[in-house]
Amino acid sequence: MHRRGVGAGAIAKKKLAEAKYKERGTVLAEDQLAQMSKQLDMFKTNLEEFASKHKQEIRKNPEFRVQFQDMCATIGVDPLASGKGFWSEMLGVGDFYYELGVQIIEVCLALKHRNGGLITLEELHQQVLKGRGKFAQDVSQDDLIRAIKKLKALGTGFGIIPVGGTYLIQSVPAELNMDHTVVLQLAEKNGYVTVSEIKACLKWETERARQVLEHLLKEGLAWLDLQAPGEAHYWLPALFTDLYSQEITAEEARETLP
Amino acid sequence: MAIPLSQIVFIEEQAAGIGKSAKIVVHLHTAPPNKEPGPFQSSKNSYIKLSFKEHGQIEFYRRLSEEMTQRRWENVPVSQSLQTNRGPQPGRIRAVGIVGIERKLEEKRKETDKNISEAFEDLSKLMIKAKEMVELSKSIANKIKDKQGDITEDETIRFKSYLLSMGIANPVTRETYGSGTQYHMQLARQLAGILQVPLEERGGIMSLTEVYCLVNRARGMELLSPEDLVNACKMLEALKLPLRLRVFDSGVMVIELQSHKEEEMVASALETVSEKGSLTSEEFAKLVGMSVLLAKERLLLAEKMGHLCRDDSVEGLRFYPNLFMTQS
Repeated sequence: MHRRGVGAGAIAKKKLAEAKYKERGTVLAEDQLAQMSKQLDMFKTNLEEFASKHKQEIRKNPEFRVQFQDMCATIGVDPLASGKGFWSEMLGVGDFYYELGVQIIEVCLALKHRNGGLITLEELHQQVLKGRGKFAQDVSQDDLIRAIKKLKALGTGFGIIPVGGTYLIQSVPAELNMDHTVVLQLAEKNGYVTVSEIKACLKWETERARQVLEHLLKEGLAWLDLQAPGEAHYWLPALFTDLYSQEITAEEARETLP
Repeated sequence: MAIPLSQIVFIEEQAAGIGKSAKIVVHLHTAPPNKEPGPFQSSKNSYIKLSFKEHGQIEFYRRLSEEMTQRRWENVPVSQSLQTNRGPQPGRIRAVGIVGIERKLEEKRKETDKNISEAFEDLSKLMIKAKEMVELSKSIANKIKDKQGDITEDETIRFKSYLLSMGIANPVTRETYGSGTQYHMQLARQLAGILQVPLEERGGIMSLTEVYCLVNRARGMELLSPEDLVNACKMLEALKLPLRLRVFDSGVMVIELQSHKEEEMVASALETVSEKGSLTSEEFAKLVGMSVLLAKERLLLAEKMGHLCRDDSVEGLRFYPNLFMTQS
């Protein structure tokens, strides 16, 4: 009897303690939220001050933008996550990159029929600069890469493939695995690649090389040249340097929006 | 205080030790005779040492090495002639008037440098404060994780909007509407308004990339980030708006009018393909007036539903009516 009383009492006590603990937990979170709200306001003021002094620096100086982005990444902050974020609103970084995103999409769409949806970072850079006109802010390759990384969220297969010291930008959802990527990298040197070259450099079987090249042909990323001396050449229009100087025609521009 | 990069011969790192800080040793050319006066008239050493009390040496060394590799000062022959001690260059004639221009360029560069280093300093201070915010948000997120159900919906919403302002990824996995906040709900409603007519003009369906371009071009400023758009679209269905987000197997994301039935469009696609015998995505797109991306998705869906079958060759991907189904 006595024991049961103690047991019941102990359980009741425990329950009370738990309830108090939970309540305290909620109160603690509420306190911290209030604290965060206050600190946010203070941070907003600091950011405003920074913006009033250095907003121009961000706009004009690509190097500074890189520093800024790297620092943000280090502390775990993404200044480009939302147009509603403080960084966007006060420093204007958002608009800069989001607009760049639009320009990148448009260039890639306009040139897709030429290169199958694969373009070097250099050519993309040139075309974007042309589109922006003489009086627009300078845009660096680093800026393009960051804008493209953000575009990936739209789910339409934007990819960044490292080749020979630069990058190929993929703008269509073509399936490209490691094998395809490696062959693209090999092709970067001359703008084309052959089965023998692949076998010699990568030590692959003929069949594996053929499959990769066929896939690139199917996806429209490579063109077959049967008239080349020796064996068939597989050309990658994305790597044609001659195309860099060609303007986007009015018809191509119209193609971008059906 | 500044030294032109062109004066540097070689740089090396000296690791930190007990009682001494990390250093970068910068070996220099002998000073040119027309060097501007500095803190010392002369030195018996041909190098300077930069001491890094806390940190920064790695980054500094990396950047300095990059500059030494790029040697950008060699691209500007005008200012070159004043600063370096390379001796007379064949073919470089120094006209008198250039000296004044060089001085001005130098002054402008110094001022820009000063502005930049001030900007960097201010930026570093700002980042320290930002880091505090990140730490605080982590601690709150942990509390929320532990106390599942004890944090009110309101508090979660508040917290999410704080994270959005700072650009901190949402670590709390309990999601009702994705990373949606009040802002995204508002945005979703706006989108429903903006996109109704464009969607009708385009056969009831648009890729998210098209939507992104359309909406941002229309806004002109205060643009949406790609993530803003996606997060808003994820809420369309829940908010019972007349549009919805759809993700195809390929990962392509589209916005459809609720009234749009892609599966029904497939029937008409089959008719079109049958009329022509066979079609590629590009041909179909041109005929119907759609983007190639969406044309392909429709044909793939038709294939998935068994109405079309494919002929995949190096000539491209071509779709035929599936006679196995209809003629057996």
